[in-house]
Amino acid sequence: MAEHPPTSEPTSLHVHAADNLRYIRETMESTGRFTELSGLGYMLIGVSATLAWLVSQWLQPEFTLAVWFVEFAVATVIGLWFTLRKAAQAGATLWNQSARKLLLAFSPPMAAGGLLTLVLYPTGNLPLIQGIWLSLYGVSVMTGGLFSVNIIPVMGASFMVSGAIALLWPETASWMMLLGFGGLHGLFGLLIWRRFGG
Amino acid sequence: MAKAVKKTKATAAGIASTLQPSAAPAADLDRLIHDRMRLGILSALAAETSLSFGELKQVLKATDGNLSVHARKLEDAGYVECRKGFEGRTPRTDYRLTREGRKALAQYVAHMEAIISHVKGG
Repeated sequence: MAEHPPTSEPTSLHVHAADNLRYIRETMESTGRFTELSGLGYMLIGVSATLAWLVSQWLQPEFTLAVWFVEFAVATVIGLWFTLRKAAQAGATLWNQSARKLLLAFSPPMAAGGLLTLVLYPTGNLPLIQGIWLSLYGVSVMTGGLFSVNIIPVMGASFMVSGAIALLWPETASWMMLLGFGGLHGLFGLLIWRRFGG
Repeated sequence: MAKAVKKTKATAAGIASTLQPSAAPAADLDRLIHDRMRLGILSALAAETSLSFGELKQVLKATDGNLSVHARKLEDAGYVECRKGFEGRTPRTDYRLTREGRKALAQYVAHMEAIISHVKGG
């Protein structure tokens, strides 16, 4: 059977749909918010963090931090990739003013977390380091999230609660790592995906 | 309160004919928020907890009359809530998205993404 020649209608429809999504994004951004954070990306970070937790349970405790270092790199790649993908689908440039503000607010607590990890690493105090990670990541997400959609600071606050529990009750630190980096990323990723797409 | 505005469904004959057999999303298009100004109001309110009439006007670059007409339609449909009050002696109107409004916007975004995926995939 001969193939039908391509028509311009689907392309036109696709262009209109992309244009509508771009308009939604630009309108949200014009309120000063960064909207390219990917719900799907967060869900996959949740999955990779859960796998990292399972691997860390399987290995000797001295390898736990190494596993989470690898997970940090993997999560960064996933997050960046899906954010770039969402921006590209919406025909947007990623490096806009709200993205710069978000990064500027997100980075200092993460840098402090890195420094504290460096200092505390020789002590081998795993629960303390994990509690600090959860807390400072929560601070980063909360402050950075002020320049994104409303749900992001809520996710940051939830991480801070997980961190507080891990610091106050060190025996729960490992579970809080699973609940935080696995569960909260998965849950909020799903909410972001459902509300804002991507 | 009686709803002054009925949500209408697009017949979308053109859309359906080009997207068959998966034309179902097009048939469910929410025409109420397909309008640019109303889509803009919902999008702006989705990013903020609430916005005043003045802030919405600034974000959407709309006139008073145009914005109030479209905001009223969304309010009547239950997509946005409107609260009137005073800031000192100046009247102030604040809008926020309702759960139904957020759901409608999410469905609209999913709808647009489905169209894009369908065309790219097909």
